[in-house]
Amino acid sequence: MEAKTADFKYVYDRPKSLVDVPTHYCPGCGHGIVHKILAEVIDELGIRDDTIIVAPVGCSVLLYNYIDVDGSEAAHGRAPAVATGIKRVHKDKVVISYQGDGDLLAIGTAEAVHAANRGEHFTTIFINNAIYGMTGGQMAPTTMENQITKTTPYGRDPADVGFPIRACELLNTLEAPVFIERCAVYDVKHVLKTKRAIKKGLQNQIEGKGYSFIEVLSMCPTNWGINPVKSAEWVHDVMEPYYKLGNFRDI
Amino acid sequence: MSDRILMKGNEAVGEAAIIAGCRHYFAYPITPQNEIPAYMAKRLPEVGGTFLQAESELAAINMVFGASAAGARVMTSSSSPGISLKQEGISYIAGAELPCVIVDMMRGGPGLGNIAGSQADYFQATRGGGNGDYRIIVLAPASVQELADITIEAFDLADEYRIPVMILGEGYLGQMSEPFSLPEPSGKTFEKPWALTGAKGRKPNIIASMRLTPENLLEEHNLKLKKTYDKITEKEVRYESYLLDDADYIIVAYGTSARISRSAIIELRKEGIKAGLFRPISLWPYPYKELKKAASHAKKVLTVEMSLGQMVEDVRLAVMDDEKVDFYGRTGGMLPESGEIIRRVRHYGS
Amino acid sequence: MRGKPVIDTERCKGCMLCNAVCPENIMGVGESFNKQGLAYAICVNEEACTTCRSCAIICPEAAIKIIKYV
Repeated sequence: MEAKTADFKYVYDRPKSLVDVPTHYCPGCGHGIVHKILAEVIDELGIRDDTIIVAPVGCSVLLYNYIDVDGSEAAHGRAPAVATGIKRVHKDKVVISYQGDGDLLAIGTAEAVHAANRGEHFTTIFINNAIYGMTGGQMAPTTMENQITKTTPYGRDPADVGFPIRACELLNTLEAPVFIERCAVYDVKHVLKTKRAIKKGLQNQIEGKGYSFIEVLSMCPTNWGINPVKSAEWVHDVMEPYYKLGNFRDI
Repeated sequence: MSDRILMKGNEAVGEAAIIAGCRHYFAYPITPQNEIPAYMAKRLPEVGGTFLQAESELAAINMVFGASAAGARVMTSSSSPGISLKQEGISYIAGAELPCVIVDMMRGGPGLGNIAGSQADYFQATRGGGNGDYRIIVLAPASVQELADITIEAFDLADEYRIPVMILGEGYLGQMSEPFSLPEPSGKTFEKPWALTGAKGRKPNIIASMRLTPENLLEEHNLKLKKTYDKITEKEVRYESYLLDDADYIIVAYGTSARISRSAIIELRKEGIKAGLFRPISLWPYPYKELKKAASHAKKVLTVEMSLGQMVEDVRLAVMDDEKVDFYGRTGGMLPESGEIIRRVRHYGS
Repeated sequence: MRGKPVIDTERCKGCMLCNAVCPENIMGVGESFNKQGLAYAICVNEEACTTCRSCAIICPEAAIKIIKYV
């Protein structure tokens, strides 16, 4: 088979705002997908020079090494407060608080609820993978009933430690937020939907509309103890029925 | 100097912060410093600034982290239990080399304690209640005038050394009204190329205290912080001496305790007893050398505090003579009595 | 041939999500390993590639580019 003509074009390439380095994430981790589509959105909106991200404490603590924009650390759970401080100083910048389920729904519940309730003009990307990843697989507020983790070795027992928390529905009781959507990244269709939601969340900020919240059901193969492809199926089969996907608010 | 006005200490520190160019303030209500947020809520919007009542002191200090990381002059204020909630945030701010000003109007502790003035958080302020090898500058005013003047200095010191600066007062100082003159802005400006402003035309800035790899990266960072701390220790010590030159008996006290000690000294001098006051203003960096020199010719060094004895440990470190150092303190928000100070010093001489 | 995936074999962590989503089922795990000791993904039949980009979209490492011949 003789070589085809040499000229071709890329119909899919790495986003410029995604730093060209290997990540520390495990194979099949949803963070990598969300980082990529976030970088794509930053490129498409042309806001690389105006974006400031706030990283959580958790697997994505090194977020600012991967997205090529100004970045700030935040103490565990406090990203919404740090983002509030940044956005109050730079009203014209696009500020993003990127958080995991321990960060947002355990230690940082108060900061998450109150930033949303104040209608702070930043955008939260909330990665829900139903477990604590960085610390090696402990129960998260979003751990499913009966799910086995390092701290629920016999399966999560709601009679003992309560039920998984649904962040979108929780925040949907608040008046101020302008956009609340739950997405997933377990297949191509849902990755594209997540990208659309993130783009909307950032556009809302650029247009000065208010606070946007995007929850992303994501895979954590290593700590779930199943391979990446099975993990994607687990999100669909077990998490999605409990965490209904879709838009809760779009003002 | 503008003419004299009468203001509560809590309001004076607010106005002084605005004069210093502070346009962002995040705080949570707690007695006895509530007038500060109330004052800033009224005044900051008038100067195009941001006032925000946070959901907790802990959230507030992290908002301070963000605003400071964004390059703004920013302040928070609280009292003892609230300052306890801020300790983790303060450690992060110090580790990330961010400037900010933290006002602490101390109250009786431990725990919920009471709302009277106290000095029982000296250790927390000067030794740090957060984790890791870090320091913060701690300044202790003893009057509303000094509180206002020190606020101007605090913002400059914070920006110059990229460090949190704590203004440590007692509830009494915050609640007390005294005539004073509004300070002038210092006119100093500080470049902040490190700030998060959107990476236009430059590599992204990252504000963080985490340093994972290589293995000694954090040690290198801490040694860099130490260089700053050594420079501050060398250049930024502040203290006041009163009738020290010929003093046989030195009283070491700061803030409200120093005011009470001063009146005791005046009485003692009338009785021909040569007492003098050594008043540390910078509690970190502590004036060890200066106190050691002053104490060298004194017979006795009495430390007076509103606690069970915390600064007295630094006095011991300075004087290095256990026999010479004595302590009198009241705790739980009680005020030391000048009569008791006079009685003790008289006794030294007999 | 319309185009094909270009895989950065050092960045690939062998998660095989591309394999799971490829409509033509032409993404598979190769025989050789990259420096991380992971068996990286390969396109087993580039002729059948429709350049639909599914593999590239799902890839957590942004390790797949898609080229289209013009």
